[in-house]
Amino acid sequence: MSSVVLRRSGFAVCFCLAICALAGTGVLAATVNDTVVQEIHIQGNRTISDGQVAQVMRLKPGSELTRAAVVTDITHIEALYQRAGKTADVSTDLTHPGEQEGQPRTVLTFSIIEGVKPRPVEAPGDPLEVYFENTLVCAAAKTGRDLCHLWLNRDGTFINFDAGEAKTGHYTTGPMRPDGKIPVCQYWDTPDMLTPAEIALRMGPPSSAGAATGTICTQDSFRTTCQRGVELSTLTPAQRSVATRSMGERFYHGMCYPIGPHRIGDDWFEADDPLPGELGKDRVLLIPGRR
Amino acid sequence: MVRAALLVALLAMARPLLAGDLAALHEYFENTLIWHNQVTGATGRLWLNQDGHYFAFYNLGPQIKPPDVNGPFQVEGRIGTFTLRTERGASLLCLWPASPRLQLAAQIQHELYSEPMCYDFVPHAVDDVWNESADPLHRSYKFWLVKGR
Repeated sequence: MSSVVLRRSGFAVCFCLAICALAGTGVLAATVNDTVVQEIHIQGNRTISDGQVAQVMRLKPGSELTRAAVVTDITHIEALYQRAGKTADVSTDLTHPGEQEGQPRTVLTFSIIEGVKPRPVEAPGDPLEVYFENTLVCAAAKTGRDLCHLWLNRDGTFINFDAGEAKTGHYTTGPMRPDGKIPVCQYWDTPDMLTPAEIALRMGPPSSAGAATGTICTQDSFRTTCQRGVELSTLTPAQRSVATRSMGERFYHGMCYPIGPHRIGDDWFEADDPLPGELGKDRVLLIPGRR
Repeated sequence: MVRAALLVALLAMARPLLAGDLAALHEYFENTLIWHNQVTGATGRLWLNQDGHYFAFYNLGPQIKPPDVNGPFQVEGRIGTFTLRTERGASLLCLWPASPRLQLAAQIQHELYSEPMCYDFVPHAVDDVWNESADPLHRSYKFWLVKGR
């Protein structure tokens, strides 16, 4: 696996340090800025060199980032392969390392899989269509264990179930991101957790005595940013009530996840989730039918 | 004439729910039946909707290997339709998983409410907690009928 990183050194990081609605006592949230790409990664097993690929791309670190610009570059890379008598599928992934620490970078990764037929860059129709009637499985990145199953419905409702709870809800979608993913904000119909204590699973990391911390999640423009390990003693009462929300309360108020263009049978990692699990990412599978 | 009567009988059988049965199940609508298999450790929940549809969710516990697209999954779910019948004075909850009927690990393990069959079913009230041998293998289960979903 080769990987090249195109980085604009000294690039003035263009995130705005915004005092979020919850702030007032120093809780700052740096909002993600997807209008400019700061780093471009190229990865995949390839016989065509990184330099050759970079040469046909118009996007450079510091470029304006749009879906159209990304599609153009995918087309250029595929054309490069065609000229070399090869085929390759190119997918893109927009991530924001540093977001949870308040310093997000906008990183675009082109993953090139050589020798396979390219998938349509912009398939016609609803990009979420493949998720209806099928099951999106979220799993742990390291152990691989399935953690939740999501049934998205055409009518804007969904059912999400895991080892502990099953919930109905509704979702809203945001505009397609430059990497082709759709932000899907899920709202549970109720914050209540019903599982009897006798069989309830303890979710999340163990809480250490004396270090009372919480997780603050905020939503802006169809994007949820969560900050883990916030010390409760530093928060206002309003912030504290947000930081101590249960999983049910968090999803009741809405959690946004990017959902990408995939096919049934795909198995991938998502690093741009608001509360990624093991290794800072989630494993995701799209399986046929509802199960 | 016989054919018409047979058709009427078949349609009656195919109806998701008989009107007279609604009262017996009204505590279940909008609420959640939770169960715990005391032998396998599996847990699950069942939603019965007034329109005759059901949703069943199973937690089979950690599996021996991580899943691929075909499994094995710790968590599974199923949609279908149900009827409530009375036979020889006993209530039966009959479940008909929707098509395409996927093979679930829960079904292979004969976990409760995972198979297309009729289960003994004594309606309870919200907040009831009870024990019962309820699956085809007569394993012991603990049940909770909890308010809400």
